[in-house]
Amino acid sequence: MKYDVLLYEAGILTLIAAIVYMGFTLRKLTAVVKEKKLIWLLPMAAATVLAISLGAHIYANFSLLPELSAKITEISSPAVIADQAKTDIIRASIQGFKVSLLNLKTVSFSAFLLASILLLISTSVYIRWISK
Amino acid sequence: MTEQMIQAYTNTAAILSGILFWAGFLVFGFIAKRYNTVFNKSTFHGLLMTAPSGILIYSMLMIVKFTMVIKDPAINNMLQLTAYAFLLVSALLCLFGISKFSGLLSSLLKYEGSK
Amino acid sequence: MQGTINSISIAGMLRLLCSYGKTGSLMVNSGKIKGSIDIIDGEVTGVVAEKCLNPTQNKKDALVQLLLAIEEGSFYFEEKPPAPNKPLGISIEEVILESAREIYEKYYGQISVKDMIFPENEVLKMARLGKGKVLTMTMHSEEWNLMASFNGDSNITTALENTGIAKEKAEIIMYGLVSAGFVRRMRFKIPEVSKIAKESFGNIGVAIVDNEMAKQKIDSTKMGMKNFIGLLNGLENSFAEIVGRARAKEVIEKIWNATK
Repeated sequence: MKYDVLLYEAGILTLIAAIVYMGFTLRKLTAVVKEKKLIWLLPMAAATVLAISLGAHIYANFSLLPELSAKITEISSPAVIADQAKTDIIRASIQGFKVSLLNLKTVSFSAFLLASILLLISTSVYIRWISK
Repeated sequence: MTEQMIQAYTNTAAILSGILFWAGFLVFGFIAKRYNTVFNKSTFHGLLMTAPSGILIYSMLMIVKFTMVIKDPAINNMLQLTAYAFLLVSALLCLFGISKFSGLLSSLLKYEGSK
Repeated sequence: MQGTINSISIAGMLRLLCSYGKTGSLMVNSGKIKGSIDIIDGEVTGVVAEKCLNPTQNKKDALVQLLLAIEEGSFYFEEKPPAPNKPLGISIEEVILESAREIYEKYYGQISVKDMIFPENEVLKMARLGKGKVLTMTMHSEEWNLMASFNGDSNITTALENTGIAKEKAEIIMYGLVSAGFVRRMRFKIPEVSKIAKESFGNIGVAIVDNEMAKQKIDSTKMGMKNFIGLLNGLENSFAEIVGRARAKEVIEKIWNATK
């Protein structure tokens, strides 16, 4: 069991819940100042983007990484070492997994960044409204 | 894009997003603080303003992990585990703070007057 | 000049005619009370009470009787010089207060002054005497104390309560004081702050108002002008915290306009 991964995912999941709650709270706050703009949807979008990031993280850790480990184990087995063709196929497969993992990591962190930007915009817009 | 460039991008994104999340929650804390000033009721604005620091600490630990050349994988793992723990605790406290502020806001929106 | 009694009291009209030094006859007719008051250069020179609640030969008492025409009827002022009689030497202000006394001493529950008095949220203040005006009259302690309680700060409800006089009686005395011109209405009245705040910000507006009142220890039913000004300042800051300075100013402006 990868406790650190679970810890991270629990953290992101809680963060998503907090952001959704913040969205609803922002909706109430927007009603108070009688603004018609839907800034409360920004945290909701941030939560959705974070959920995508979380999905990518789960997929990478619970699907791709075990498969990559299996391939690494396989390439080190005496049967594969003796067979050059097999070694090349598995090496290519490992490279493919590495690229996929890197891509998922990029998507995941980009989503994380986008979510944080959306959240900051929503709260900044609101505080600007009530500071005029 | 080379692997190093992607790595550098993801590291920067992780750190930057940590800082932006922290700033976003901090601003929300300032909004809650205004309600505290007016109604003199606990809005947990202090919690809302300090809790996101955990996200900032998470970012800092990730910077340390990514930039310092720590050879020992055990220390690296420990660093990562600590960063994740901070992220979780911080998110939990944010959730708690927001729910409390939201509760107060709901009661104010239903307020019918003292008499 | 003519009018109906429910638009202005006979007492108030008589005082105005006298203070403007008019000459003519004020004819009063409320069904049960009928008569006329002759005025020359603002001085009462003759009183005829054809019908009244308590017939009398005394001119001053007859005038008091005519002033009891409060609830219904009409009057008109004929600007034609009456018979050139000498002034009766009656103090109009005293007669008006006397008529109010008559109501609460003899006609309590029978004659109502409700339609003649200002709304409870109005603020009254002691009036100044005109230059060169000399006033000789009798005043009872309750009348004086009520007059003193109209300090230009407290609203009518608070002023009446502060004197400790029974509300109905205090209202009749106030009617007398206002008709005699001893107290006058202030330019301001206390508006319904909570109502305006609710219209502007919903329930949270009411919560802000109640909270500010509690903070400043203001009782909404006894709010005076000083309290009101303090409340407005506090509200402007509170509204600004919640909705921004620009919106706060708009609402404060709205409340301020409602005072006029």
